[in-house]
Amino acid sequence: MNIIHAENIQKSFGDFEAVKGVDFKVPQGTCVGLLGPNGAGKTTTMRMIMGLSSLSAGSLKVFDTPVDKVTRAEKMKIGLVPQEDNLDPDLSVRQNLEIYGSYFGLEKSFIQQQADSLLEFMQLGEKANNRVNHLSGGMKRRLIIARALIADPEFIILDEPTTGLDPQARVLIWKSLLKLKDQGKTLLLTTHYMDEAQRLCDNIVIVDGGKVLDEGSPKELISRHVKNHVFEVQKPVPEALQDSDIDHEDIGDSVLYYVNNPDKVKHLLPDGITYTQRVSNLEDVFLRLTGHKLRE
Amino acid sequence: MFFKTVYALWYRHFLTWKTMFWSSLTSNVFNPLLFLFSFGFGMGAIVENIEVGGQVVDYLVYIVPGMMAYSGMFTASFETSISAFARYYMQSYWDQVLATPAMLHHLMMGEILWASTKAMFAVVCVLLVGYLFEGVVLDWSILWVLPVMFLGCFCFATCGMVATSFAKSFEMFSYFFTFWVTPMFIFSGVFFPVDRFPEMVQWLAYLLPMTHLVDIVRDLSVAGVMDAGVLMMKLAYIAFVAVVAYAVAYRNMKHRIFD
Repeated sequence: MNIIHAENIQKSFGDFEAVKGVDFKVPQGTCVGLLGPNGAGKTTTMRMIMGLSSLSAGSLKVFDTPVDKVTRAEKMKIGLVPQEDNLDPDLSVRQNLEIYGSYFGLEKSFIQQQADSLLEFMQLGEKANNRVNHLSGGMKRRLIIARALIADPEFIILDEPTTGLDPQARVLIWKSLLKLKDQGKTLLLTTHYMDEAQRLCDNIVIVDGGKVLDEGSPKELISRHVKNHVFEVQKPVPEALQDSDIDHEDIGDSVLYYVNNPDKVKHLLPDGITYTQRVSNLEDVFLRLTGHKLRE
Repeated sequence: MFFKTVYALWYRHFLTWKTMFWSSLTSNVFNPLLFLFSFGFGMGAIVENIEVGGQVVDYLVYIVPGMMAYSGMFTASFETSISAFARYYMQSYWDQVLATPAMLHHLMMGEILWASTKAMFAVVCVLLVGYLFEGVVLDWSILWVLPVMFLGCFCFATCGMVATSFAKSFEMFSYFFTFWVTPMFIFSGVFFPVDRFPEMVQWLAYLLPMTHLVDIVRDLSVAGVMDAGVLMMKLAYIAFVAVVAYAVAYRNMKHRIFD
């Protein structure tokens, strides 16, 4: 079963087309990553799924129900971790969870039980009675994730859950997200960190300019677009390499060569040439598909 | 489920307000104190006696009901305009709520009912200060005045919501305060009877729900009685403004958030 099934979804704001026809699925029990540069249409897509933004065209089903007909019971099964910090700054950590739970119409005893276990799950127990204003960035993020879980949702949407956090805080969040996956929850994630996507996602959808560029598992995407190894060779590139038919991409000061067998490039590189060689990763795929130019 | 959700949203505002209870109490008590002191001395010395419902009363007795209505009007208007806009625009509080099963109707009702509650707190503070100054008597007529005040505050809160539904920045609220809140302060009979104005201005004054509210509150709290037909007409007009304002605010907000 697909938790989300989007077919050719589009969204325009006046003359501006934010999403120009996106197709993707989120099968139950998987983690799908929606990756793309700033302004690619990721947040708009997420807002459409949450029913916070209407569709201009296309079909979007959530739990097999068209998004504009999603019932209260179905909405209760979705948890949202938004990109920005929208916690209640004047309330305590625990109050933030309890108040949010009350918007779901949940029983008080259930909310308190959930709050206790989520504070422990997100390692916020000691801060339960502190005001949100006094928390660090990492703790705030953890609280926002805990808050999204208050009604014990089946499906969790995470919009850049670790942006701006230190490595320790990110690892802690990754661990908890993997635990949620183990519990059978379905996740939809956007991120700018390719290591995060590679670690957490079963399937990745790369979007740019409001369209899907490609999708597949991290492994599939890597072998399809950037082979196993990448060489970055400083210009001027030796003629032998230039004449070869090796898959490559010019990125300005240097050229990237993608190969399955590293020896194929190595023997074309004379001594004294400056180059780096590494195992290719999702970041290479991302940059290759969305281009190396800076986005505004 | 509708009331349970609206209550949950109302309670969130109450909990936040509780953390600032003392500053809220201080300003709600000192505001009328300053006004009554200044106007009681300044105007009271010039205006020796003034008529309400056929009775000649002291200026202080005249002005306390006006101050009650004004405090309620100002607090309710402020809460659903500047404060609600801050929650919507700066704190992303509305997005937070709409990501849950709560809907826009719940959210707006929560804001409006909370603003009315907070305004009633201000009203009661003026009432108590007025009582201490012997500007108002506390008797059974108060049981009529308070529900009427609540309806009035509800109306002003929905009107504030209209301003929020149009506002693109905080600066935009200067229109709301200049052309809506201030006229209700100076043209609605808070400090002197509306019949002192030329007829044309009186007509305009009676378009403002505040003028009717001041009339009712003053007649009920000073004279203790009011013609039932007139009372009903005035209440109906205030309710009508509230319903229209709610419909406009909801339509605007819905378009703004979801489209």
